[in-house]
This record gives sequence, structure tokens and C-alpha cells, in this order.
Amino acid sequence: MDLIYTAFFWIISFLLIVFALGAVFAPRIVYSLVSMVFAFLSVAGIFVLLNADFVAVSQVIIYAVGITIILLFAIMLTGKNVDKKLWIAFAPRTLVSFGIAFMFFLSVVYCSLENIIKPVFNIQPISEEAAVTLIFSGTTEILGRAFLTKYVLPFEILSILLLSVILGSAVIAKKNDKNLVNPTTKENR
Amino acid sequence: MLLEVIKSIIFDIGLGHYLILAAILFCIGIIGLISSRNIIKILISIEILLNAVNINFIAFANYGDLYFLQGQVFALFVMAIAAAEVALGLAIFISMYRNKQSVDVEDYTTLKG
Repeated sequence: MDLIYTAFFWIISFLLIVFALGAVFAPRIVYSLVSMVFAFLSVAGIFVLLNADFVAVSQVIIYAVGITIILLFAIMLTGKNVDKKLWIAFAPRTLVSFGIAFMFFLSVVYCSLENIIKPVFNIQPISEEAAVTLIFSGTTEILGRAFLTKYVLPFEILSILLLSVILGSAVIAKKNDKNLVNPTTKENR
Repeated sequence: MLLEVIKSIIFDIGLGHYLILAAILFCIGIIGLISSRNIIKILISIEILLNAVNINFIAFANYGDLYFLQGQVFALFVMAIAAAEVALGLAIFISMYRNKQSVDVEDYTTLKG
């Protein structure tokens, strides 16, 4: 049991890092999109390892299908063969980004050593009772109760936010013939 | 002594492993966010950053409170807001593309940034 868990953790995290690197460093945008899909599926696998079944299924539905289709439409609307020279910016900010990422990584590694993080966050081993509850009923019941009792106000506000985002994105992406000015030729299209 | 430490790092998967995995993912996202020129790749990097944060939330929910699972609730909120953010960002990007005919962020200089 424990050995299987360990093997799955290492395999999934290796795949996740490889696909995330592919999503960032692939030379063409379509390759990086496909790599992003597999990275999100690997993140869903990590969620399963962390006893979060409902969140893992939501991850597959929302990220690996929904967001990918939206991005695919954007790529199809703008596709040209200029992807390759847009690969990465050979500018000073690239070095700055590597520096920031390295410093951040070192600080997180320092902070996640166990004797620092244990007293701060009160990490205790998983109790028997909670584990039995999770095995028999999953997390869906707990999450549903939380959404409709304690977090009901953010839940409703979130629905208003999604409605306004649908309307707003439709309005922004709409083609408005009067206001569009081509900046290169200075004429209305 | 050293062999035992390495053995415990490999075989005892704990909270620290997930935190370091999320940190690696976050670093990849930061590198992509700052150093890429294609605007769609910047959006992809933002999604990778949000996923790294979600891994942290769920790791703490698993090792911290398994009764209330507040980390998982928050991760679901983060997912919904990420979907909204992608939809709105792509709408802005498409209307921008109609004006500039380019996906290069270094061409988007209308705001003189």
C-alpha cells in the first residue's frame, strides 16, 4: 500500500514537472497547449493522491477540458506561422525571471523542512475516524455541506461573478465596427 | 546516517514533498510568465501558477484538517475564478488582436508601459 503510494507519487510528479516544462518551453504554441493538458491531468492525479476526489474530477472537467477548449479557440482565431520567433524573449527580464524563480524555490525548500513547518501549522497525523469517514463517503458530502452552510455567501457571489464574466467577455470580444481603428492605416474598418 | 536520510526522503511521502513539488511548478510558471513573448503562453503560465497554489491548498487540507476540508473548498473557488479569468483575458486578447494583428506582447505598447 505505502510502496504503491510512493511509486505513484514519484511517477505523477515527474510527469507533472516534465509536462509543465514542456508547456512553458515548447517551441510552438500548439505543442505547449497539448503539454498543458497533460500537466493538468497530472495535477488531477496529485489531487487523488491527496484524498481530494471531488476536486480532482472538477480539475479534469474545468481545466483539462474547458479552459483548453477556450485556449484552442484563441489559437485558431490567431494562428499564423510566426510562432517560432516568439519562442522566448532574449531580454534581461529572462535572467531576472530565472533569478526570482530560484530564490523563491530556495526559500520554499528552507521553509518546508519539517521542524520549521510542524509547529507553525499544527500538522498532525490523519486520525482513524476521519480516514474511515473519507473511505466510506468521499469528500463530496463534506464539500457540499460546506458550500451550502458556511460558505454560502461566497458561493452565491461566485455565481454573480460568473454571470458578469460571461456578459463582459461577450461585450469585450464583440466586433464594434464604429470604434475600430486600424493603427497602421488610420482608417476605420 | 546519510543513507537513512535519503531513504526517508524517497519513501516517506509527507507534506514537504507536496510543498516542494508545488514550489517547482510555481517556479516554472514564473519563468514562463516573465520570459515568454506569446500572450497565449503567458495565459498558460498563469494557469500553471494557479495549479501550484491549488496543490498547496489541498496538501494542507489533507495533512491539516481532514474533518472540514476548508482547503479543498478554497481550491474549488480558485478553480472557478481561474475559469472566469481565462474567459475575460481571452476576450481582451481577441479585441486587442483585432487592433494590432499580433500575438507578441512586445507589440502591445498602446499604454506606453
